[in-house]
Amino acid sequence: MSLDVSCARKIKEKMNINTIKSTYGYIGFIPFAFFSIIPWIFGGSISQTAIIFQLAYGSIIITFLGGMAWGWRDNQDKQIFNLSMGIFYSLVGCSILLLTYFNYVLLALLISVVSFQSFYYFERSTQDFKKRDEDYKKFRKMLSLLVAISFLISSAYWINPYSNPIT
Amino acid sequence: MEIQKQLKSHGAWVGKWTFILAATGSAVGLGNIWGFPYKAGTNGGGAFVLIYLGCIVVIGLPIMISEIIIGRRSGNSPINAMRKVAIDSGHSSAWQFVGWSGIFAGALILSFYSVIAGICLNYVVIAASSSGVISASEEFSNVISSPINLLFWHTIFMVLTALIVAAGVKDGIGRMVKILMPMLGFLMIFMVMYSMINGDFNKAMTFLFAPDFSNVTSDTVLQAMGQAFFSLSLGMGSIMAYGAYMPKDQDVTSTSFTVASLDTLIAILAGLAIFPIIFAFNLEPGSGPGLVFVSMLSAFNQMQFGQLIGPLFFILLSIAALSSSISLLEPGVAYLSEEGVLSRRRAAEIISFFVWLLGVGSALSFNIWSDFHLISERNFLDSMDFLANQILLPLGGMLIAIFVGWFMKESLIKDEIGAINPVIYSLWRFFVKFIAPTCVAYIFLSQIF
Repeated sequence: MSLDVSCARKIKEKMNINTIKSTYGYIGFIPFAFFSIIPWIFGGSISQTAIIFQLAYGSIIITFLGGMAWGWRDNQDKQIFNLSMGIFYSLVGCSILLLTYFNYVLLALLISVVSFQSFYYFERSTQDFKKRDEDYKKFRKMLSLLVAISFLISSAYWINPYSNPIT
Repeated sequence: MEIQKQLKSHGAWVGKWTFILAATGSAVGLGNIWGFPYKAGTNGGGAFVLIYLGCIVVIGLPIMISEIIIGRRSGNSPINAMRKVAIDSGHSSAWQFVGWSGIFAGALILSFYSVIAGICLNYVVIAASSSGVISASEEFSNVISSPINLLFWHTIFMVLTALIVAAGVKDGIGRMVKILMPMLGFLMIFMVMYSMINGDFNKAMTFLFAPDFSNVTSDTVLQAMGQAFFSLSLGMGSIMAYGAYMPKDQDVTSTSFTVASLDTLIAILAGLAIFPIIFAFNLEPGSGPGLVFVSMLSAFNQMQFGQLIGPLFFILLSIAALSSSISLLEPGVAYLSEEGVLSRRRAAEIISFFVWLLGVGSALSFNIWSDFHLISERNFLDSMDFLANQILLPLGGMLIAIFVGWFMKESLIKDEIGAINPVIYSLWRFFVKFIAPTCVAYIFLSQIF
C-alpha cells in the first residue's frame, strides 16, 4: 500500500517536473519572440539593438544547452561523444557572441538558426532522450522550432533591403 | 438508426483534422486573399482587424456553430438536414427552403467562381512564361477578351472540382483537403518569407496593422460585419454539409473556433505576402482581380526570380479556389445522391454540367456579352453575384440563426454541442438569437438599398 502511494507520488512529481520544465522553457522563449518582433514594429536604430540582444541571449542559451551534456547519465552509449558535442555547442555559443561583436550579424543569425535546430537533433539521438515521456519530446521539438523561426524572422529583417538597419 | 444509415451512404471524415481542413478550405478563398488585406489596410488597419475579430465572435462563429449542429444532428445534406431537424423540433418541414436556398446560392457562386479560378490557373502558365514585353494590364485584357481561353480554363477547373467531389467524402474531398491545405499553408509561408526578405515588409505591416481609429466609420463596421459573414462560407450549406460528416465525438465549439482562427490567419498572411511586394515596386495597393492579375503580375515581371515566384503565387490562389469550389458543389451532390435519384458520380457530373453552362454566361460577360444586362445595370456575372452573395447568402445565414436561436429544440442543441461552459453557451445563445440575425439583416438591407 505504502509502495503504491510512493510510486504514485513519484509519477506525480515527474509529471509536475515536466510541466515546470515546459513552462520555464516557453518563458525562456519570450525574449526570442520579443527581440525578433520589435524590429518589424519599430524599425530604425532600435531594430539593430533588438537583434544584437537576441543574438546575445541566444549565445547564452546555446552555451547552456551544450553544458547540459555534462549532466547526462555517464553510462549511456556514446557519452564521450556527447560530452565533445556539448563542448562544441558551448563554443558555438561563444562564436555567435564574437561574430556579433565583430558585426557579422547575419552570419551569427544563420549560425543560431542551424545550431538550435541541430542541437535538438543531437539531443534526440541520445539514449536518455528516447526514455523521456512524449510530452517532453514534443515540447523540445516545438521550442527548438520556435527559436529557429525567431532567428529566421530576424535574418529576414537583416537581409531585407528596405529594413536593414546598416544600409 | 436512420442517421447512421445516411452517414454510411455519404461516408464520414477520418480524424478530427479532416473537418477542420475541409471547413477552412471552404472558408479560405479568393475573397480572403485579395479582399481582406485591402479592406483592413484602407479601413483603419489594426482598428479594422479588431472590429473584424469582434464580428467573427458575434456573427461568424454563432452561425457556423449553428450550421454544424444542424448538419451533424441529421447527417444529411442541407435540404434534408433542415427538414429533419425542423420536424424533430416540432416545426414545419418548410424550413428546408433554407437548404434549397443555400444549394442554389452555392451553384450560382460556383458558376462564376470557376471562371475566375480558371483565370488563376491560366496565370500559372502566364507568370511562368511572361517576358514582360507586354504590360500586365494588357496581358489581363488579352486574357479576358478571349472567350475560348476563358471557357477552356473554366472547363478545366470545373472538371477538377467535379472529379474530387465525385470521388466521395473520404476518398475525394477528405483526401484532397489533406493534400491541398498543407500545400496552401506551405506556399503561403514561403510567400511571406519571400516578401519578408525582398519586399517592403515594414510598410505593409504599418498598412495592415497600425490602428487608425480616425478612419473608423459606420461603413467600416459594416465592411467588417460583411467580411466576417462572407469569409466563413456561411449561408450556402457548405459548412452544414461538411458538418454532417463530422464525427460525433468532435467538439463543435472548439472546432468552429479553430476554423475561424485559421481563416483569419490565412487572410492576414495573404496581406503579408502581397503588400510588401506591391509597396516594394511602388504599385498602388488595391483589391480584387486588379490586385492579383495586374499589380502582382507587374511586380513579378520586374522582380528577380519572378518567373518562379509568380507561378507559385498563382498556384496558391488556384488551390485556395479549388478547396472552396468543392465545398460549393458538395451540398447539391450530397442531396441528389442521398435521395437515391442519382449515384454520387452521376450527380456530380450533372450538377457540374449545369454550373459549367451558367459559367459560360459569366465567361462571356467579360467580352462578347459585356453589354448584356440581366438584372438592372448588371452584366451576367454581376447578376449571378448579386443573386447569390447579396440576396441568398444573407437570407440563408439569417434564417439559420433564427431557426437555431428561436425554433430548434434546446435538447437537440445541447445534445450536439455537448459539454460546454454555461457562460459560453449562454453567450452563444444570445448572439445567435439576437445579434447575428440583426447584423446579417443589416448587411442584407445595406446591400440591397
